[in-house]
This record gives sequence, structure tokens and C-alpha cells, in this order.
Amino acid sequence: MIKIYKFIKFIFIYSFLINIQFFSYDRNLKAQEIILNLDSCNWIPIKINSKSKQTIRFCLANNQKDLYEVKFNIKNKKIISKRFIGLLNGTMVYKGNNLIDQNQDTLIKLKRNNGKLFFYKCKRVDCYDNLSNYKIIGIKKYFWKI
Amino acid sequence: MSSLGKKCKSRIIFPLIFFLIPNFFSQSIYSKDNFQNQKSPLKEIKLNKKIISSENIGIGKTIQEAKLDAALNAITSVVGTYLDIKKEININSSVNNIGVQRIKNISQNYLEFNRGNILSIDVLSVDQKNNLFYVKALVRVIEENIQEYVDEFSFEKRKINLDIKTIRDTNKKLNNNITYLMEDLFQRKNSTNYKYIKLGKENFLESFNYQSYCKENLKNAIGFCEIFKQDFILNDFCWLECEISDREMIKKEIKTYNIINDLKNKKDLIIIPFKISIRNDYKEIYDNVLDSISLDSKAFKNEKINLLNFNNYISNFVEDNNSKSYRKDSRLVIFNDIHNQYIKSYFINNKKERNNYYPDLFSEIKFKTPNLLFEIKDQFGKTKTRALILKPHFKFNTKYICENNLIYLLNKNPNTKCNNQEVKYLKVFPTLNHFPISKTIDFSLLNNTYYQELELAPIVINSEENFVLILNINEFNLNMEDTISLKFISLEDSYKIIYENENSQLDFDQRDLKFGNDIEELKINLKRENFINKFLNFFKGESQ
Repeated sequence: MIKIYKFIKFIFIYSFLINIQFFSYDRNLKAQEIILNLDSCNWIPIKINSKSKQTIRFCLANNQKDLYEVKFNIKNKKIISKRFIGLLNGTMVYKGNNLIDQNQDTLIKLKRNNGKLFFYKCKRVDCYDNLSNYKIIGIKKYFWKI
Repeated sequence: MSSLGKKCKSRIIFPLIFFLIPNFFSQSIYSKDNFQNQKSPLKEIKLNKKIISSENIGIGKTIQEAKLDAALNAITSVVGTYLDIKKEININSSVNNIGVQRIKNISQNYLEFNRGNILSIDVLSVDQKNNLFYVKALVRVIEENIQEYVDEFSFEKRKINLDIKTIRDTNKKLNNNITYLMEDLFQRKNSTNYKYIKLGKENFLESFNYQSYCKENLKNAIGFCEIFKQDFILNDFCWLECEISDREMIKKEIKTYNIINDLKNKKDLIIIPFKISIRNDYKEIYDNVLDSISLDSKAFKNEKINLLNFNNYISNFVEDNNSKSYRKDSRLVIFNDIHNQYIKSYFINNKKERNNYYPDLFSEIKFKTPNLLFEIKDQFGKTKTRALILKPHFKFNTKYICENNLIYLLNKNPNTKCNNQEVKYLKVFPTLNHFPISKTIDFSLLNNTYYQELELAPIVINSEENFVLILNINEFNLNMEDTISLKFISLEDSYKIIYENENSQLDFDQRDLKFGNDIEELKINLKRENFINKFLNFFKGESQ
């Protein structure tokens, strides 16, 4: 019995170290370092403040799914901060206070439509996946690019 | 056993809780409030409108005709470009008499249409000499729509009746001319003189300074000249993105620059920069026309060229208007005034009451490919060489680098190799055109671009575009006193010249066609004879 317990414990710890996704499809706990490709920063916020030193872009990680809001310092050519927003064309699930009742989960959806980036947050019970419910958070950086 | 079980359970559950808790508390859920749809304030550009009175004499076989002539003369005198037009006729008529009649028509059209409408005509006197009527009239010209005015005054039958007819006839002509102008612009026919070519100073390629050429030409976007520096690093210049241009444009520009730099036999090559520009008066004409037919128009001051601000402005503009009209029936036209540093957008939708001038705007436009006529004359004005320049050297693959495919030499049978590193006769390169939505793939100020939200491709009109002409002086036996000219030539005239040239090589008996003005007849014959199949690819043009 103790051997079995030790084995299970080992599996837990090992799995945690190599891949957190084993336990949850929530990317919020992602432990590995994110590599952002500057060429994938395809969206800009709806309002641009050209005077601000900080520049915000929406960038895809190398896996082309994880979307980040990234603050850049253009002058120093550095990333100031990055914040994970969600999965492009996917759904993020955040468990609600009631762990058993899935209707209390909060869902976050991200969509790309006609070059624009759409964001939708809802309680699972109230979710209605229609584009009219989404908010535009970013537009394509260059409208002329295919 | 039970205590061991409890212990095991707690040891399994604890790590589970440990893993899950951060998930519960780390919900960085976005607040919608952060993403309010806020639109940046845009500067509007407004044009002043004027009412101008002008005393004019009109000539015609009838009084009505003479009045119409006076009305048209009034517009001409208001515009005040008559001398300029006369000059145009002189210049263009030198093209071996081809197109003289056409240019006369163009001038007439040009005279007839200029900014505005006839507001009123008061006949001051009528004379008749040699079966011709001479009408002296006071004409008031306004830029606004005349229709309301005519309706208001139609109650005064005695005085107004005749004038209404004149006014309506004039404005009907104006409408026809709007269609004519639109066709010429959008189909790139080269039938009017709305654009002109300005040749820069010639130089031997060996001693040509690209940097100073760039700085002289791109005064409003001088930062772009950085790309021609030896130590230029694209990834530094465009770290996150480029402001003035985009990566593709810069790469292409550098490639063109390198090709020019790497050309062999530089000592035999002269380089002549030239610029294609839209005439200022036509700029206003087209602005008025597009304004009058568009659902919405907005100007954006682009003093510090920033592509992202421009992108935002267009995006907001399209979003505002897309909600008002059916997607399939909308066309976005973007006018890029480089010299005055503003961009104006026109959102045009297909509504009969507003737009019956050019219905083709709402379907696929068959763009023509405009050509240039290159001519070298000796000091006595005798033509030494003529060539049609069909396309600039804008691509770098084998098909497009062949001079055979880019130019058509008259009275010569060129057999040139396809070589990027040589200029056997002449080549034209587009250069210093940094605005990414401007495609200088041919000699036109108009091209289309892409916008995902719009079914029909937006049309871009540029106020100017830059090119360089590189010429091998050995092949053309160029002398110091020679003059070089470069002018637009219409598609029809290109056909004619090629046909003439091909026919001149046949025996006299074989010629079965004498040139007339009937272009349709000419086209049919060209088709039948199958003379210029090899050039048709260039003439077909591209479609959006």
C-alpha cells in the first residue's frame, strides 16, 4: 500500500513538473516560458495613444493559440509586461465558487473575425456565443495585409 | 489501516488543492470597460465653395447652342486654365498626328467639366454673323447642385424657360463628363490629361547619388531615406513595426536599389528620375465628384506619417459606414495626397439617386494597363527613337525582367536577354514609393488594395508616384543636343502605333487597312490579323 502511495505521489509530482496541463486545461497556470514572436503581434488596441511611451499590442505565442496583451517600450525595444488573455478561437474556463456546479464557471472566448479581435466573458449558464455579444478589443495592425 | 487511509487521502487531496487554488484566485478576467470602442478625433478638411460671375461670349448655329457655349466658356474662364490646355494640345499633337482629334475632344471635355454647375445665365446681347449666333451672357457658376435651384425658379416661366433648358443641357453634359472622368480614372484609360509626367535631371548612373535624390523627393517622409544607408538594419528600423512603410515595401525598395546599384556597364547608362503626378485642378475635380457621389467622406491629416494611425482612421471610417449600407454595394476610395500630407476616404454605395455616373464601380473593375511613349529627338526635332514602355521593372523573376516584355521598340527588333544585371535598351524602376497600399506595378496612380471587411477591393489613388528611367546611351546613340520625352499614351493609341509599326514591315499590297478614327474597326482588324498577340498579356490588365 505504501509503495502504491509513493508511486502515486511520484506520478503527481513528476507530472506537475513536466506538464501542468495534465491537471487542468486552464492555461492560467502555465509554467513554461512563453516565447513571443514579434511578427505575431498582429493587432493593435482600438485607441492608439501615439504619445505614450508604452505601446500595447496583442500578440500570439509561438503555438499560435495563446494570446497575450503585451506592453512594449518601443524606445528601448523591450517588453515591459505581458498578460495572458485567452485562447484564440478557443474557450478558457475559470471555475466558479461552486466547484461542482459547472454553470457557475466563467468562460472567456476570443475570436478573430474580419481581422478584428473579439472578446467575450460570460457565466456558463448565461453564455450565448453570438458575435454581437463580443467586444472588439483589437483591430488588425495593417488592414491591407491578407 | 483506517488511519493510514486517512493519511493517504489527505496526502493526495492536499496536493490537488495546492494545484487548484491558484486557478481559483488567479482569474485575470478582462473587464469589458477597458475596451470601449473609442474613436480617435480626426481632423476634417473642408473646401471653400464659391459663386463666381463671369461675362462670356458663346458661338453656335443656334442661340441655344451659343448659350451653351457661353456657359461652358464661363466654366473655363472660372477655372482659368485655358493656356495650360492649349499647351497640352501642342505637346500631344506631336505624336505623329495620332490622337490629335481625340485630344481635341479631351480638351472639350476638360473645358466642359470643371468644378461646378451653372447657377444662372443672363443673356446680355445676341448677334448673328455668317449664319452663326454670338451670345454675350453673364454666367454665374456655383459648386453646389443646381437641381434645387432650377426647381425653385421653374415657376417663373417667362424668363426662366429658356435658361432652364440651357442650364439643364449644360449639367447633363457635366454628368456625361463625370462618367467620362470616372471611366478614365477607374479604368486607367489614359484618355484625359489628369496626370502628367515630370522628368528630373539626368545623370550618369555611376555618379548618381540615391540619398540626395531620395531626400529631394521625399521631403515629407525623409526618414524613409534611411533604408538606403549602408549600415541599415531592417530589424532595428522596424523593431515591432515600421512607421513610414511596412517590411515588404522596404525589402522591395532595397532590392530595387541593389539591382540598380549592381547594374553592369554603368558608364554607358544614364538615369533619369521622373514623377507621375495628378494635376491640381483635377485633384479638386475628382474630389468634388467623389464627394458628390459618396455616402460619407472624411479627411485625415497625415503630417507625421504613421501607418498605425492611418490604419485606425480607415478602420473607424469603414466601421461607421458599413453599418449604413449593404456590404456588397459599397466601395471605399482612398485618395492619398502626398504633397499636402492628407488622406481622404470616400465611402460610396450603390444608390441610384446618388450615383448613376459610373455603375461599374460596384462590380469588378477591369483595369487597363497604361503605357508610356518614350521618344528621343535630335536637335532639329527629328525623331531618332521611339519605344512604348509597357510596364516598370517591378518584379524580379525571369518573366518580368525581360526587356522584351517590358518595352516595345519601334523600328527595332530587340533580342535582349533576360538579365537583372543589364540594361540593353531601357528599363524603368519604381522607387521611393513607401506607402504600402500604393502598388507601383504599372504607370498608374490608381491601384486596388485589400480590406477583409469589404467585398469590393478598396481603390487607392495616389497624388504622385516616383520612378527612374535607366537608358543605355550606346544603343540609342544619344547625343548632347538630343531631347528625351516621356508621355502617357492611351491604350488605343498604343494599338495603333504597334499596328503601324508591324504593318510598315509588310509589302504595300498586303496592307488592307487605312487608319481612321474608328477604334472598334481597328480592334477588329488587329484581332483578325493577330499581329500583337504577344503584347496582349500586357494590355489585358489586371482585375480586382
